[in-house]
Amino acid sequence: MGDQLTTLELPAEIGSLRTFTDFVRRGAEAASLGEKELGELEVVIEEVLVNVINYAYPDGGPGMIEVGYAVEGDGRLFVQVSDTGRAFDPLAKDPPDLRLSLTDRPIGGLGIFLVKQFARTVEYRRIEDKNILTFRLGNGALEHEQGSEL
Amino acid sequence: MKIETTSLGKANVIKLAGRLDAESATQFTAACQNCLDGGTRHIVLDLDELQYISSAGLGSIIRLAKKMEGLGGVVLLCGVKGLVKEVFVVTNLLPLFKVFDSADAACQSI
Repeated sequence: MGDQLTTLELPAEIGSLRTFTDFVRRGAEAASLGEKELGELEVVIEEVLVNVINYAYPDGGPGMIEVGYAVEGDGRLFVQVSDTGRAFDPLAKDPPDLRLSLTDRPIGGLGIFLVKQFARTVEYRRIEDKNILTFRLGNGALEHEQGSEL
Repeated sequence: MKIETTSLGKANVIKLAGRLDAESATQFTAACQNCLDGGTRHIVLDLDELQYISSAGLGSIIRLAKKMEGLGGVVLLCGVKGLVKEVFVVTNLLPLFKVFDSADAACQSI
């Protein structure tokens, strides 16, 4: 990730969700993501942030979350979410069983599954005292435009 | 998120507009509880004007559907489209609900 990140840091609380979403949307618009990908991006960013808000800072008041993005040359958006909470790899969780009936379905457990479905790439790293989750979305619209010219 | 609840035949129709997410899911759950407290056993969720749903929103709908199932009731969906439909499809939740084109059609099926 060589490009400079545009970043925003806010408290790890639900009230920060919309501000972060609007912030990343600006990057998505600059990357020319299509309407479908914009919706998927919003789901991905919410799921990642809600995980941090719920699990990163179990003791005491809320910590902070930093969100950064960079528009990549090929019409893709790179997003990085980092926190200094306890080490937690959300991607290590077992996938949900999607064959279960309504009676047997758990209420939760679909968030990270949606992240993996909608993001083109998603990675977790623990570096020093930081959880760093990065993902990429986009270039579907670009492919579509190129396709429609044929 | 905007929530409108109306009675149509035997059912309560809950019309959602905007975003059903981690912030608004409790508001939705409270509206559902009001319907249950009023004695309804048929809830139609009209999602035609719902632009966005996350796993928190899905969780609140699953919770409602399980509760209704336990009470011998049912949750019907209508107006499922766009991103909301995509999220229901990838999580394989759509086949677990009866889905209709409109609230009227859903209510007529009861």
